[in-house]
Amino acid sequence: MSPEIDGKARVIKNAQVAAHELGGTEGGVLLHLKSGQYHGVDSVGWVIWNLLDGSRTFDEFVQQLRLHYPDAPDGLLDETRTFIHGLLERDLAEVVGPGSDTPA
Amino acid sequence: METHEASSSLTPHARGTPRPVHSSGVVLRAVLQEGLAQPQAAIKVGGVPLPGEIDWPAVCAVAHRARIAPIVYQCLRSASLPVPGDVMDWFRVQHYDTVARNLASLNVLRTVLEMLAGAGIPAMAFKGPALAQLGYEMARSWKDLDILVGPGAIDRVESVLFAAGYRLMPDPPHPNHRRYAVRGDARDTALEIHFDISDPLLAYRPDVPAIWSRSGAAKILGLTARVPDLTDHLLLTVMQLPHHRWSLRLVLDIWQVIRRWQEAVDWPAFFERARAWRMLALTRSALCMLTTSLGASLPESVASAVRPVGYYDRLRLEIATQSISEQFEHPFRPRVMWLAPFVVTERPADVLRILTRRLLAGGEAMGDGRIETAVRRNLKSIEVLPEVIRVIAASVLPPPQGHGDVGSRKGSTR
Repeated sequence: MSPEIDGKARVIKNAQVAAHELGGTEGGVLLHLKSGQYHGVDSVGWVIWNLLDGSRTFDEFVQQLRLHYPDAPDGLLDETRTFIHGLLERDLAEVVGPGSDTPA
Repeated sequence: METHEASSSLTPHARGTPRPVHSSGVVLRAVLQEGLAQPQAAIKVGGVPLPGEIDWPAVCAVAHRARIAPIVYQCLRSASLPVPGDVMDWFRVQHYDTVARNLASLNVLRTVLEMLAGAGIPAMAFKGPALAQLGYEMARSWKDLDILVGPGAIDRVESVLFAAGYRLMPDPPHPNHRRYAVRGDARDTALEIHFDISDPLLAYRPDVPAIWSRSGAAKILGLTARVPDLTDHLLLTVMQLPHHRWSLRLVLDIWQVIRRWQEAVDWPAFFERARAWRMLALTRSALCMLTTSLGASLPESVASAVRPVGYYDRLRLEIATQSISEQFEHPFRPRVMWLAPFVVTERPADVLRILTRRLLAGGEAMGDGRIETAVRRNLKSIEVLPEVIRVIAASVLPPPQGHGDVGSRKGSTR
């Protein structure tokens, strides 16, 4: 089970994941170096991945994403939450403690 | 937004109509020529002139066999040729898979280079990712990681690798490298530690001390490593052609390196070194074939220097051309390309010497089963003799006007 993501949670990329952008509108590939499993993410997923530096709370993160996609539909919040849950379930990212200024 | 697991499946495309069916070679040449002529973000313009059916399963099979599917995919993305969705999906998966393998392999390379640096052992990355950096970057697949160390350093390297859990692979002993398996690597990355880079069978003699002295640190796909200088690396790539029977992947590497870097290559030094390394004939044949078979652009002075002069030049070019044609059309049934490594030599007299060595030694690998290998290889050579005789005869007459005219194009270098 991946941890719940509330508005104060900070999410950061797993350092054991190597990533590469595929170019064009194709998003990128995320490779978990320990398990050897890899995953494709689409172009929006790639933007999200690059924003996962642990410096923002989830709420701030969604605001930042809206700057990238000003015409995003209302469901952006839920979709982002689902996507990040997917990353957490696959051990591609991890939650840093709420309110923490520096990533663990 | 979504994540998805990559999977590979391909539904055979409907076939059997009386319309002409284009072979893998026709399609791949057209797609590569159009795709490589465009910047990656280009808007689809022009067209691949291929009216009729396309044998897409054959195209996929050849691309997979040649390990160029990700490069073909890059070209298909910008090409105007309509591609069935399932075919495009198959190519996309190949691209994903290659990028993932490359990421894992780069992680191994980073670790190994750090270990060697920690032990005070100078090491140079070449081929594989270092070559990918010069060409197709992450779309270029590689399996082995090639690292050059000093001739006296191999035992120290081995100690470092054994201490880290690497193990020597059970290959026959090789005169210029040792191969190691990477601990816990499910992707079968092999670490090939070279203490020499000359070709024992074909007698190429690269000046290894000079290659070291010209090498330098560079970023390769995100990590810093010592690599050969550009001109040396291009020559080292050409040098691999015979051993790999003019593989499409290497040919495309050379094509792309020249496209991207032709103004940075030191061409006078390139030919001077090719001569000193005893591979001038191979180099001229390879570059000339690129222009005549694939439409590559070369600087005028280079095109002029590689133009065939005399019968043996024409024969070498014809064999290179036939070899690459076979690679495009039926790499599973090698004919002329089987013998190409031993015929594209500096002097005609070398052919007999190389074939004799091959007959006696079964190639460069000197391990168990070499007699069986030698017999099998030489039976194969006899089998393809009629095709070779045809090529020899076809090279007697000079080509019709226009053939081999490689000097007039000078296109974009990027």
